[in-house]
Amino acid sequence: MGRDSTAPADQAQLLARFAGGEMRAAEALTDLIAPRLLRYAARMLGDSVEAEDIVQETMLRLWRIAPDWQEGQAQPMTWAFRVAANLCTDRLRRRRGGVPEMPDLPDEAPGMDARLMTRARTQALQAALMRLPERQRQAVVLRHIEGLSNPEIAAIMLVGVEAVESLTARGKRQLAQLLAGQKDELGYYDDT
Amino acid sequence: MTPERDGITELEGYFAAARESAPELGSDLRARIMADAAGAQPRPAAPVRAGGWREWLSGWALPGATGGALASLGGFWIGLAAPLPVDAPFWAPEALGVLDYLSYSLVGVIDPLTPEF
Repeated sequence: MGRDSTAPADQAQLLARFAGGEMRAAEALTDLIAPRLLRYAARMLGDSVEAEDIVQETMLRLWRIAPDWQEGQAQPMTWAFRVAANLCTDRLRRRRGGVPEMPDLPDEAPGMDARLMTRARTQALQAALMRLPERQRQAVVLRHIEGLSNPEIAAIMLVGVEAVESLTARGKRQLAQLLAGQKDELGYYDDT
Repeated sequence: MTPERDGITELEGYFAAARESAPELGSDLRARIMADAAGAQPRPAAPVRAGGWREWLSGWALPGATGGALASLGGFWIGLAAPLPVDAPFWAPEALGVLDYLSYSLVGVIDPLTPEF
């Protein structure tokens, strides 16, 4: 599954070993799943503290379901992403307003340090992501930042692959429009 | 390349930046997750307490004791049913007659060792 992936069967086996009392299996699953959930939740919520809460709650639910995990059901990683997505949705619904401002970017793009540029682009992308409809944001983050395949995203979002492709395409178009006004500040120059 | 297409192509630079500066799983959060895992660890089933009378009845003890008791009764009966010696006290036949009565009530014959049994 995308970057730093482990075979799905291995994930299910790790969960079964945890249910059998092996804490090392829980450590392996945590190192496998939790970092990806954290990146995902942070992009969805734009808040690292809330993202950590989401990750902890999702993993706790995974531990609790471990003894009853059925062979052949969704893989633990997919299941965890689905739970995290629902928890993010709940958080977003509880928020009032909260559309973030586009970041105040540095003026001197040509002289910007590469690290600062990366940070500025990340902030700009995050602000633009937060303006997307939630489903588009979810699809774009899972596809283009987490690197999941469309079938994997479809399993997480409980939609068809075509719907994922549509959500991703529309999300990227809207992102491009939102970020168009900041090309120069962010190091994208028109050479023509 | 159209401006829209151009903008979408440039998005990869933003995505790459986001991947590069992604938040990492801190040791505090990892410790909290592992503490939750330890708390949610399924408890091993409690061992069955040995020595209960149910276990005694369901094991080898009851059949063994029953067999031993029946063998003892059989031996006792064989001893009683044997012919009396000549020097037996005068009241012995009368006393054994009670046993004949009991055996007839229980198994339908006076002496189970007779050929008719």
